[in-house]
Amino acid sequence: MTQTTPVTQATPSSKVSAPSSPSVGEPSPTAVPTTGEAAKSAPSPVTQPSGTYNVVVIGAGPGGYIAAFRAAQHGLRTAMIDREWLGGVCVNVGCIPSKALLKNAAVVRTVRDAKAFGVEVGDWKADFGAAVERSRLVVSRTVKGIEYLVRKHKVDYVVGEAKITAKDTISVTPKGGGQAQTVKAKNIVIATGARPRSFPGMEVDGDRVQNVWQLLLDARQPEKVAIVGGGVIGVEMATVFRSYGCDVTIIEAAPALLAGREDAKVTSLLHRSFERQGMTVHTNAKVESAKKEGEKAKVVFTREGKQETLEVDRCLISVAFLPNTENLGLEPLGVQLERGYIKVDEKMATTVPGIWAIGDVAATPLGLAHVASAEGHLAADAIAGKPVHPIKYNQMPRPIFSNPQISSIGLTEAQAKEQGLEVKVGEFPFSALGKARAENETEGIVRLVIDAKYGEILGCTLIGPEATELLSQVAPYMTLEGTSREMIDTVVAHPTMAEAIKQAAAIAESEALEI
Amino acid sequence: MPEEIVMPRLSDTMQEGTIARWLKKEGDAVKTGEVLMEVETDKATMELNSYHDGTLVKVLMGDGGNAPVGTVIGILAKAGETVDVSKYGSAPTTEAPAAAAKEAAPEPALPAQAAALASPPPATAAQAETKPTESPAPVISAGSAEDVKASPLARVMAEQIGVDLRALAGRGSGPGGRIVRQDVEQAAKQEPSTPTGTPTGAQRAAPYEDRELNRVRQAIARNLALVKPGAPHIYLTMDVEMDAAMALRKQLNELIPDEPSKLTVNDLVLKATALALRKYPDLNAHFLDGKPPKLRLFSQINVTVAVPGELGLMVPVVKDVDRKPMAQIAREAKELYARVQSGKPGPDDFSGGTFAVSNLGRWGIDEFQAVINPPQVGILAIGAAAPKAVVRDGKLEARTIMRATISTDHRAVDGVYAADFLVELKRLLEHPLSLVV
Repeated sequence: MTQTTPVTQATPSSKVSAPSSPSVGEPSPTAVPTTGEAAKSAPSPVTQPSGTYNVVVIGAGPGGYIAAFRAAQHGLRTAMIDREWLGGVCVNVGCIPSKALLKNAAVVRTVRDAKAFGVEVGDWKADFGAAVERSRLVVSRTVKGIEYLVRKHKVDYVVGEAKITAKDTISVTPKGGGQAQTVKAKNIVIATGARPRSFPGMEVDGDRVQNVWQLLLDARQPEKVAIVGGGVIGVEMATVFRSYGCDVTIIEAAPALLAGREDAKVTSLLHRSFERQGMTVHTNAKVESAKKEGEKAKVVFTREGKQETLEVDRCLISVAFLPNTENLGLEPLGVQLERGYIKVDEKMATTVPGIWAIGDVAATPLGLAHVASAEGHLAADAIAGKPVHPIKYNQMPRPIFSNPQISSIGLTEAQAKEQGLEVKVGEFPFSALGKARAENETEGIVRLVIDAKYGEILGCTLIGPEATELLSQVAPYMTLEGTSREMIDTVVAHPTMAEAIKQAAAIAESEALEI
Repeated sequence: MPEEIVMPRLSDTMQEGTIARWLKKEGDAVKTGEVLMEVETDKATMELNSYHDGTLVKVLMGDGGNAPVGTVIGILAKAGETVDVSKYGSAPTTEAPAAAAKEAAPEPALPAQAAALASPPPATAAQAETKPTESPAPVISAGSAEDVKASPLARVMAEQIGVDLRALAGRGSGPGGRIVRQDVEQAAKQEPSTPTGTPTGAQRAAPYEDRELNRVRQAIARNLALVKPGAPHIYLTMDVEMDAAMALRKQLNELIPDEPSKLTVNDLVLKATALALRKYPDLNAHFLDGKPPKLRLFSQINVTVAVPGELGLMVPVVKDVDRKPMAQIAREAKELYARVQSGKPGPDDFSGGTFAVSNLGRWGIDEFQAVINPPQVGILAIGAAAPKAVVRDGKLEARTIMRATISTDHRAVDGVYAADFLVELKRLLEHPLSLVV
């Protein structure tokens, strides 16, 4: 698919709302610029720590702040420490700004395709820099919201680098050095998250070869982009750049996009859709090197036994994450790790009583913001001595905000069969839905996996319009143990996209009427 | 508009139901939530509550009537309403004319005798007006499986596996005691086919019935707990003359060709115990120490038998003792003991006991007191049947005497009740033909 109108290049080398420049080399969280707006906001929630806290949370991301707020809600005296970002990666350089960019991208596509609706736009241009600027505004507003919540829940917020010096003591060093403060805690919740990493040969310089944190703060629009790693971040950023008319190449090491973890049919539909949109997608391709060369990034990779070289304006390295466990003082305390992540039990307790770990730093499945929040909530309940229900990781939604969107929960058909489960699969195409046709959004399918014996909802994968929102039609059935029967019996408003889920259930149970 | 009372679907598999009995008769005023009748289904006997206020103006199918789900079996009318019952015929048993009430004709009419009834709230009246005439499904009463708080998946699984959700009511691991998948799985594992499970016999009634302790019994239970915490035992002993029983056993064993089916004294005791329990059902029960405390009365009589095992006492269960012929009891008990003692018990061998018998007669013990297996409420301790000198009509005589001692949970029953049970047991064993008829 080609652009009907050329998309103009944004002002070069403008770094919106990035007070310090992106770091060079292997990134560390402190080296990545903070959000200027957060620092400016008043009144500041930063407080002087005092006395002994019932709970001290290290890390103010979606895991940490939920843990802190929940603990405070239980009447526990709570403090939260972060070296940099209130709201963590999610709010500052992750979920939130990327969703803002994706909205801009969707608007660009709407204008681009307006002719299909009989709208003549004439000359138009899309300013990528403005998109990044808007994303920073969204971030600062979100951070302000969290600042308000910190005050509302009467959580003491301390800024600085935390190190656990004893089971009940944390030393907090201010950013840039200075006198360390001591915080006393009966319980410590480690919620320090994770950071992007790269593999040998991938030289992240922050200018031409970037990790996602750097990329999200860079207002320059590239013409040619290479995305190394076709996982969630890779396909989302590919969507943003392609919508702005960039030449996009995705290089994925696994045999399929999304590391082959999602439903094979859905993943192949995404692959085909990306190609139809004009992207180049290489799977089974191994990147040998990616580095800055002059004003370009040079990416060398091997595919089908042949070495290829790609010269691009920007290369995103989105291959993996590393848990932030260093310099926390874990080892002397005896906090055990598991594959580099902090080992926890079902209550998120580490191997040292009184020390808990949640979110991306904990050795639990799924590095997702909402999973971190769920773990934080649970840990706070456990600390407060409330009864807790262990998190069911197979009931955690997995959203991907690419175009088309993908979302999934529970088992894929292949995973269910691997487990020896007898399943029924209901597959429904959006093209058969009146609402989808009216919206001109007929690309995509729903695949619902149902236990053949009891009708239990084992999993669902969607690709298509509002797939990430539609997943919330499925998640409650799993939490509440609803079956295909209730899914079919529940009346869904017509005409809505949500009908697709119900139809898929009806197909699985051979009760379909409308297809 | 008059409301039709239809045969409700009380379980997913229910095709038809039998009216066990009407608790209301024609002309009775009925309030919403009141029990209209008891319905026997393929699974259990359940109560059917009224969904409306009104007067039961017509019973179209009487006690014992059997009809497919959806059949109109009665008519409920509000004050002042007239009902044409002619169109229902006398007792439709096959097709349910569910929508027939739509064209209500005024003749011949029965006046609703609802004058005594407080006028229904306007909301109810309005609801009745707009309600579609198709099966005004009555509310299923508390105590039915549908009323238990459980997830849909748990319900489907319970239905298919045969776990009675009522037995788990309020004890689920979900929020607020909601029964969820894992609870059903656990219950299925623990009690493969106890009387709390769905009965397998097609014609069997509900496997048990829970009865709250009345105020006096609750007070007794509370007071006894101060002195004897746990299950406060009381012991009663009675002599049973076994001469007739021994003679009958000898005769029967001569008639029984195969060795495994030959009767032991204990087999006679088991049968007599089961038959006595039929008459004194409060002993064939479990004590549920909740708030309020309840007695779970079983319709099945499964006797737990104390058997010596290599590692210690084993307590396998002989099922349906009251329903089985003597020779079958003898054979099944022998096989059961052998399985248990060889260390290869079946999955069902230890489950479902409703009362217990321990017999130390073989060891020459005259008399002893046994400890109840909670939550059971009684155990019978049987001594040796041996010749003893007794006084009969002023003369000293030799009789074969067996001493039976019952231990009962005093919270569940009083001494007099247990004594009556012993008297019945003695009567059965001293007139042993009643064991074989």
